[in-house]
Amino acid sequence: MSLRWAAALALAGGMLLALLAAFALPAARLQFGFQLAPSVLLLAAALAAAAVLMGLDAWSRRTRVRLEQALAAQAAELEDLRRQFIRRLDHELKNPLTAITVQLDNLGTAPGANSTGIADLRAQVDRLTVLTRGLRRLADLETRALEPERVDPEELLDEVVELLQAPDRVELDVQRRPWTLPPVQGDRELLLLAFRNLVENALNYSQGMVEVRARQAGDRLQVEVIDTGRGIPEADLPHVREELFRASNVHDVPGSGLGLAMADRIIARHGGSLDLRSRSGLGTIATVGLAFAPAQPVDLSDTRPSRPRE
Amino acid sequence: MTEQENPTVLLVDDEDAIRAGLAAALDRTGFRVLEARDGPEALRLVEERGPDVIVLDILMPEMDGREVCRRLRAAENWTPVIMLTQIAATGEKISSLEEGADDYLNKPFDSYELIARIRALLRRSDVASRTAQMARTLISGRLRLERETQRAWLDEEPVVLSNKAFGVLAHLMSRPNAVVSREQLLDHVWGWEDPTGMRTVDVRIAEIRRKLGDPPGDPEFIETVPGEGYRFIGKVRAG
Repeated sequence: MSLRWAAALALAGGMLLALLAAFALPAARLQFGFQLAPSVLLLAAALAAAAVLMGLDAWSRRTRVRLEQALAAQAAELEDLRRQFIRRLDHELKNPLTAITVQLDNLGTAPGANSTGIADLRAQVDRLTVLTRGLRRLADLETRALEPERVDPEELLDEVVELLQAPDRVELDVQRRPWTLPPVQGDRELLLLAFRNLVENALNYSQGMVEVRARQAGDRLQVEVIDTGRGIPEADLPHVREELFRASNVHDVPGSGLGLAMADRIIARHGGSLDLRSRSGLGTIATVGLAFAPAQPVDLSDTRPSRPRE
Repeated sequence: MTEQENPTVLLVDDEDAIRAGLAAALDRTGFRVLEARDGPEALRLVEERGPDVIVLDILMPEMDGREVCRRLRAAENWTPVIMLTQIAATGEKISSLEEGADDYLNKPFDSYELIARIRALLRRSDVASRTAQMARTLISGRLRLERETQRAWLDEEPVVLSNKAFGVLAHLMSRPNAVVSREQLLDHVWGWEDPTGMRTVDVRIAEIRRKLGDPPGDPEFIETVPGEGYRFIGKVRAG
């Protein structure tokens, strides 16, 4: 029960008792050096109780708001710290990684060098390099300003397939009839990266065909990336978007644990949705929802726009 | 320039391990190597020995790489500079470019990459206009670019370009007549080394052409060099 209700109840109860007292004992007087009708005392007590309770209520509300603000500030601060940590880590790793890489190159050219050993080392250093770059990029794309423009979904998905160089494993099915898909408003490069990561995951964690379907769903673009691979274990599903998380059934496949995290952040920054449905052993469907660009577009294709660049 | 076969490279980095490793690799490849561990020492060596190329780390105590580059250029010294950056963010790239660096390499990199860049820079000694690289305003006929504010005009009418398209145009325009590959554009303008894809560059070139009304078949500004990249063919002057 909230304090406000308690206050109202105290007030109502006190008034009722006062009323009862006034009717039941109209002549009764309490002696305090002065005379007082019990009903008046009850009324005063009720008012006082209500006032105290209301005061308490206001105080508790203010405290709650303050607590919530403090929590939000703390969460933001933690997020900042996390990004800062990633930047520093990346930064501090770069010099040693450069030194190791360069020295390994030198060792490789020395006469009688153990070339397989050096190649193995080199591969491990490259892994670390890829990882630090990925972390840096993730931190970067969480904060950098988006450059929205009108992006044609079909053209974008075509490029994704082209980039992944696996045309015979991707079946791209983009709505063309009865009308072609309208453009979405977004940062073309980031969207490219997001879709590339999703399709790349589908390719990496399955053997068969990967289907990419793009449709208009109401006022949104819906893109489904469907694979018939190993699927994501149910217990892992809530965590797969976290950076560096890798599902328990994929440790045989090389990966950084950053691809899905990036896709998730990019889509979130575009106000879109990313749903993952998966069944172990059957496959995964990643569904992306993105708003279409406003119908009356700012025409960026003008050769000589009359207004200055925004 | 000293003997053509053995150009001198000045390596500036405060990390001994990196400097020593690179020095060995460059030496093996036939370069003469000078080493400096900080900015003042680098400036002194440039003065005394006149290296052909400078490999300059950005983050150093005392005087950072940018400051070294700024001082060199202020003294009209145009020795080609390759900056070693640690920061992959695009803003960093563009700002170092404006300090007059000729190329960048993101740490971590390997020696072969650095050697390839050094050779490319030495080949490019004909760089048309050093001043164009540092100019705040670039003008070519009816086209005008203001770098700091990232604004462009064609026949005095503002042209709305995306950031990346502007970066591509400014990069090409500050190297008039030089063929710039899509890889170089990706690296300089985008900064991410991940293969974003060459098509990304083409999309921006198409944007520039569309907005400047520059037909690829008969270009006034940007020419496609098949199999190599793009070239800005207009005459450029600093504004």
